[in-house]
Amino acid sequence: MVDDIIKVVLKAEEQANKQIMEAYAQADTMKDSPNKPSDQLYDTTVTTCKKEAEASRELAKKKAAERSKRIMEDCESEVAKIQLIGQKNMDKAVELILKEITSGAHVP
Amino acid sequence: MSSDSLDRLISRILEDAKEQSCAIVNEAKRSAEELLEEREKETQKKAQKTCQEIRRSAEADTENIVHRESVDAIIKARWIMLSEKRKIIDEVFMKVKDRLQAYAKEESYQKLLIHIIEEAAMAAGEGRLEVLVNKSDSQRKLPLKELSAKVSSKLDVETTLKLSDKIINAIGGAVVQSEDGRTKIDNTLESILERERKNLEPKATAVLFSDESA
Repeated sequence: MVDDIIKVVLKAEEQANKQIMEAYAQADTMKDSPNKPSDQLYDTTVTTCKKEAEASRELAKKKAAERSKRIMEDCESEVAKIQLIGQKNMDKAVELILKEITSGAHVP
Repeated sequence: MSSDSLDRLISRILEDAKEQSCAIVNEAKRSAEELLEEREKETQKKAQKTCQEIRRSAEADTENIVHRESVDAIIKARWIMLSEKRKIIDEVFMKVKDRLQAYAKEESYQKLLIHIIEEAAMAAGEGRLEVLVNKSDSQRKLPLKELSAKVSSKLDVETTLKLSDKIINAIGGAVVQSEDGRTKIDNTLESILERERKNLEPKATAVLFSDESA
C-alpha cells in the first residue's frame, strides 16, 4: 500500500519536474530571441539615414548645377557686353595706340 | 493515507509545478522584454551615432559640392571673359598694325622714320653703322649724313650711318646694326609695337572696356 502511494507521488513529482524543465527550456529560448529585432532596428535606421544623406547629396548636386548654370548665364551676358563695348570703343583704342607709336614717344 | 488525501497531494504537487513553471516562464518573459528594451535603447543610441556621422559627412559633402562647383564655374566664367577681352585687345593690335602699314605710305611717316633711325643709332653706339629698311623705304631720300653728324655730336664719338643693300621684310621702321653685326637695334614698326605692347595694353584696355568712353 505504502509502496503504491510512493509510486504515485514519485510519478507526480516526475511529471512536475518535467513541466518545470520544459519551462526552463522555454525560458532559455526566450533569452536568446531579443538579438534579431535589435539588429533589424539598427539596419533600418541606418539605411533610412543613408538614403536621406544620398538624397541630400543629390539635392546639393542639383543646387550646384543650377548655381553653375546661373553663373555661366551671367558670364554669357557679360561676354556679350564686353563684345559690344569693345567693338564700340575699338576705333578709339586703335587711334590711341597708333598715336602713341607714331608720335615716336615709344621709340627706345 | 486515504485516497482523497493522496489525490490532494498529487494535485498539489502538480499545481505547484505548474505555478513554478509559470513563474519561470513569466520571469524569463519579463527578463527578455527588459533585455529587449535595453538592447533597443542601445541599438537606437548606436544607430543615432552612426546616423549623426552619416549626416555630418553628407552636410560636409553638400557644402563641398556646392562650393567646388561654384568656384569652378566662377573660374571658368572669369577665364571666358578674360579670353574675350584678350581677343578684342589682339584685334586692336592687329588693326594698329594695318594702320601702321597705311601710315608708312603717308608723308608724315618720313619724320618718324628719321627719328627711329636716329634713336637706333644712338642705342647702337659709335662706329660704322648700317641702316636696313624695307623695299619701299629704301627708295626714300634719307638724310643719313646729317644724322651721322647729329649722332656723333650727341655721343661725342665718330659715328657713320650707311644705307645697307639688304632689304628687310617689315612694314616700316629700320634696323640699325654695326658693320660686324655684333650690335643690332631692331626698330621696325612691328618690333616697336611688340616691345611696347606690355605698356600700351593697359591704356587700350582702359579705353576699350570703360563704359564712360562708350
